Amino acid sequence: MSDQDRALVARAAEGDHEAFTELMRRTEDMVFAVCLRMLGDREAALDATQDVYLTFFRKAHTFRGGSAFTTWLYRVAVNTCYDHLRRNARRRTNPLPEHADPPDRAAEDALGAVELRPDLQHALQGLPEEFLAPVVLVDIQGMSLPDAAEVLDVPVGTVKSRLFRARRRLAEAIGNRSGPSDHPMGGHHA
Amino acid sequence: MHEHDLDLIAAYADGSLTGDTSEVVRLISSCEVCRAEFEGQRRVIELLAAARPPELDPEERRAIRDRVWARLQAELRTVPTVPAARRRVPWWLRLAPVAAGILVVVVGVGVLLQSGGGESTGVADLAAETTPTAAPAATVTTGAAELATPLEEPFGEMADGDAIPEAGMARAALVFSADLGETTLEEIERTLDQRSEALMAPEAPDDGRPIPSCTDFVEGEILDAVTGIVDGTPVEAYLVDDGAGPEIVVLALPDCVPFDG
Repeated sequence: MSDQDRALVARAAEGDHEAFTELMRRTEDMVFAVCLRMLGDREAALDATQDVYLTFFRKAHTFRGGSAFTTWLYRVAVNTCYDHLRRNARRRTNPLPEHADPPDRAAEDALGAVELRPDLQHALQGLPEEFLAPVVLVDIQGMSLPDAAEVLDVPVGTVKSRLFRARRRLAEAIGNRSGPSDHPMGGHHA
Repeated sequence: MHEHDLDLIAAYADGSLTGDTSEVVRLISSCEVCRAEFEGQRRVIELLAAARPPELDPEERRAIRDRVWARLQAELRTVPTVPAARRRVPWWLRLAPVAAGILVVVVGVGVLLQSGGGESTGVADLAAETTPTAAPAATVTTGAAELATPLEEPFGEMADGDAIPEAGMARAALVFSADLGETTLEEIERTLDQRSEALMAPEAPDDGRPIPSCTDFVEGEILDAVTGIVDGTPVEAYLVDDGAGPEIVVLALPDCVPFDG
């Protein structure tokens, strides 16, 4: 976090509207994108985005600059989304479809998932929590593995391992790959 | 096929596999399950990467900013950030020696009260300033571990040296736990109600000076106040406005007459 960023955060936390607006302008699309992909619902993502910034500004005085400003904000966003997911328990009542649905524009609009296949967004919501954030950060947001590891506070190897398993589940969910039941791990080479 | 092989294929699919890849290539070309793993991983990566980032529309952007700003402003009115420059010692402390230790604790943004009990946790932002003598004020900011340590020295025996701020902070932490949440005077009052005990009358200074009122130690207009007695020490929380905006100031003073409304 640069001195300029830190000063901006501090000013915003003390009620400086100009600093507040500047910070929001710089980061709100990124925060919203993470929230939407993690929660899969536009209204929930808007609520979560609001909560991210409330937490962000409340915690501003505790930040010591040990990591990048955006890393810190990403961490707040991921944790906020985890809180929302746990609170709503949406994923427990929203099982994955057995087969991939074709892309549906109306469904996309309703979901707010711009150009992300609805079946894939749906499959994302079916991932276990620990798999969801790595996919959103690395595969959707384009974050590097080391940065994602810092955000999630886990080793890089753990992020990679979770990514591989998450993608495997997503592939199965959208029908691009048969599930383990069709191809047991003990399968043979053709 | 082992899980390890699947992970190698997945790493090959996203380009993160380093070193010799010939074994992976052989697996993919000779094993149906391996090929399916590779293609599935590639497909998901491509689909996710191709998704255009969602954006807030102008109305949503404005609504979020307005709501966040309004909430922050409401909290600032209750428990504002207290920058270092505003954590100051009352003017009279800078002018006159004080017989007993005096602690002024200013609670920053997001102070969350401990619900009760004798231990404090999660102290994130308490700052203390104290002038046991006419010496320049010292500012001490300390962490949760120190503040969670039970106080060993009686508060009233803080007499000299650096131990005073720490001891005072520890005492304050027995009453208040700062975390990232919201704090109001009502919450402080509830905590004080749980912790309060009978007041022990303060001892008058040896030099015959009158016992001061605790409110003498507060700069600015007192907008609201709550008070209680913890471990024989008056603990008072004031919502004050000293011209720079309202803030909550918590005092733990051993030798003053508690605020009585």
